[in-house]
Amino acid sequence: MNDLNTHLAYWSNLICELSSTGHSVALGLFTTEGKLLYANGPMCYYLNTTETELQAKNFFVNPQFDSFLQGEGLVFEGYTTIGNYADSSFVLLAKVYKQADQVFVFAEPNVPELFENNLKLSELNQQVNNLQRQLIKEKKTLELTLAKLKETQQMLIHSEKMNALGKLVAGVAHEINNPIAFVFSNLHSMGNYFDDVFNAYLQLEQMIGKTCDGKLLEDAQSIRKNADLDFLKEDIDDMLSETKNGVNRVKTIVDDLRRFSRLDEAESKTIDLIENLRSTIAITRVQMDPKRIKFSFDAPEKLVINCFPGQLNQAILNILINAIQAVPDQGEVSMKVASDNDEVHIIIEDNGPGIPPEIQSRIFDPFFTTKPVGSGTGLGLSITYKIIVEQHKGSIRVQSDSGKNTVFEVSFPKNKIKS
Amino acid sequence: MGKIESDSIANDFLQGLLKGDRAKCSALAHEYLAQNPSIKDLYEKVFRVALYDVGKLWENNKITVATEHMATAITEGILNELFEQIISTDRTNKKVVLACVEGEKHQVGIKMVADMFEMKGWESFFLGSGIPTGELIRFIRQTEPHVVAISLSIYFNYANLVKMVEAIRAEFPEILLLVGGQAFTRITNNELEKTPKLVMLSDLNMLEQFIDTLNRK
Repeated sequence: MNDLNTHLAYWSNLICELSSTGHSVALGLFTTEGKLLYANGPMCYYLNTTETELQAKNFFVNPQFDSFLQGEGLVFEGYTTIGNYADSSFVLLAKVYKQADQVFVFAEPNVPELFENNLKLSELNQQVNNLQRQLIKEKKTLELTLAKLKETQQMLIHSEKMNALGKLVAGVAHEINNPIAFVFSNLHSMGNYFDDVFNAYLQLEQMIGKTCDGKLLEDAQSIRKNADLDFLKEDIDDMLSETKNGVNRVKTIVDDLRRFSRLDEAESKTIDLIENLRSTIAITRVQMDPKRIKFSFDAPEKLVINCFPGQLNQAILNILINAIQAVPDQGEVSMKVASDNDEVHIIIEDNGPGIPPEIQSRIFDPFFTTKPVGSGTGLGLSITYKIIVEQHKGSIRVQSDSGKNTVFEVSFPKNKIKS
Repeated sequence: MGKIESDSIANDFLQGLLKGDRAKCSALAHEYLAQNPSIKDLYEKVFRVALYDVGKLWENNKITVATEHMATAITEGILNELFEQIISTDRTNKKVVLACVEGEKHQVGIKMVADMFEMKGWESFFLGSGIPTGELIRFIRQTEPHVVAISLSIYFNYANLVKMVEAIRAEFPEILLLVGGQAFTRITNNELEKTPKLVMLSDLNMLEQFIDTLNRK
């Protein structure tokens, strides 16, 4: 017969045993004084004791044990907190029964709520993790943007300075150009006038010789001798010639300065690269000459390209000045210019100590400098990089053997620059 | 670093995860990087090994879901600790959208994949777990990524992956799809292999090669 009463005692005993030995249901029997008479494993865990010791170190925090002593039978039903006000607190669903002088507590965690909370907590944790990640990413992006802004700001300041310097140079060159023109013209006229004066004197002397007595001629010759007119003529010719050369040199320097600053050429322009490079080289003479640097320039007669001339001059000047500063006294610096159908190649080589391999990857970084603090901005090569790579869509290759030499090869398209 | 040392750290890491000892796990990760500064190796040889073991322990009824969640949370926290140093400053202007398959809750694997893309200069858009296919498609349309990567950890979500791939392929015939995850260690007859422009990757070494190839293009 398979009815409820069959094996009831067996199932009943099994249910009792499993309930008392399980991991979630807590069972505890107390005296009305609160002394623990029996506790299963979970109740021992919550009360912080053992089944053999039965000395509770935790207690009923809310409601307190005394409240269970009112009435008989089911005296409490609801959430109860067991703990010690300090480091442990368990919230359990409880039913408390009182029978004569004994109190029985049946308590269990709210399992569905725990599962649900665990799930929500995991989801929240994932969201927090993802948000944290997003924040880190945005922080990094902001840092990169800030670094870029700082770099751009420094570049702008530098470029503004160079622009102002260029304007000054161009202004001074323009101002000098006019006086030089009339000095040169006056020198030419002075030479002619002096020739006229001297020839006039010679004619006068000849006329005296032909028409007057010997005494007058003698006096005239004595004046010529005392005034050293023959020497004066020769020396004035030399002086005028040297002065003309000097003025010509000043004129060349002024032309170079004007060509170098090229303030009127903010847009791309078709120019003779070689003439431009010669001006750039002329600017660096002032640094090369005191070190007696052997400089060689190997380039075709003329090479017409389309570029931003002012910026290109600046880019090449930066490399050239580094080369000049790197070589010892009487060192060697060379510049070669070559071109194929599409590209121009400018190769600048020096026999300085070379760039150590560990810093070669950083030489184009803004603010990177090996010069003592205050003597270099660390912007020269980064500006060169921007001008050649970004503006002229070219490339810069660096080959440096420590202790031997450094070669910079600047390449860029001849005619692909758009304004 | 040899396999024995990696296995030993992976085992210590696993024990730390199971005990909920985040500090120990974090210290182990940093200790590993001090000896071998490859985040990819740390992910592949320590995190992946330990988390696959966590998965097996759960499958074999040795640990609870709560412990598994804790292990995942600790690992994700450490990924975040390392995240700042992995973002490459050398950007490629390439984009990848990453998500778990619909219904999938395990996101730590695909996060490592996202980190690999970030390390290689890609912009990664990590959508996490449980994103519906429609939402993913809308996001792809808006972002126009070069690659969409989807992760499958639990085998039971395979059917969802197939549907998701079909939906993305129908909408974006040219987009490169990348799929992978722990579940593929069990799938023998993978019908996705026939999908055009879909790449299956089983580990981070293969992923690295895959990204390097794309970066060269």
